[in-house]
Amino acid sequence: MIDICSVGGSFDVDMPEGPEGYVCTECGTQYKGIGKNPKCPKCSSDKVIKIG
Amino acid sequence: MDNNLFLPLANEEILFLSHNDYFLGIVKSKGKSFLLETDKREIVLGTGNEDILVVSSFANDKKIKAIMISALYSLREFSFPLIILKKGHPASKRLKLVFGCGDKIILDSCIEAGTHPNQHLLCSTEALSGLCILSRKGGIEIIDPFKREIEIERMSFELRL
Repeated sequence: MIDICSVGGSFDVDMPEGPEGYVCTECGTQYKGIGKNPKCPKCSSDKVIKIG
Repeated sequence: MDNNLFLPLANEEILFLSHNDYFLGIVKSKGKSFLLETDKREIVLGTGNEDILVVSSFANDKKIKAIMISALYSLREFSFPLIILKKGHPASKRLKLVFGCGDKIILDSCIEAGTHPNQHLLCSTEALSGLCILSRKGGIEIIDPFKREIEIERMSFELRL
């Protein structure tokens, strides 16, 4: 669960855990992800590997 | 309203909950991933098939439901990135919509605006503060500790010109 709030004087993201590194096995894109099975931001593939 | 209420919610539907002119829009996230853009990095937020994407609005506008559908549609169907501003950025005071995503969301009236003492909190007005929304298979469950008369409206989740 993540909250994204823009009320009042601040706008921030609260994350229970820091993002983890992923690499897409389809297009090779490396990215940071959180939550459940974050898909590749470039090709939307779910064939990704967590790289820590 | 009973404390607990299950509401069916299909992938192509949106539920509006309202009380005292405050509106909340809820759709299923469909297992989509969302792009969170900070000034330093991009973070991909992955979700489960039954998770929910919720928008809370502080704008009192008769077109707010259309605005909410447009915002949620942009996020879920077109993968619009969410721009995350740094704390204290002047634009943050101009934004009228706040979003929450996951399997559990609790509304809070944000006594100290923009702060998050709890991971599951999403800003709301006093009208629905304390309301808990849980993702459930095929729908959602809402738990209102104050048993308020919450209006519920179900609509097709689509953009119309």
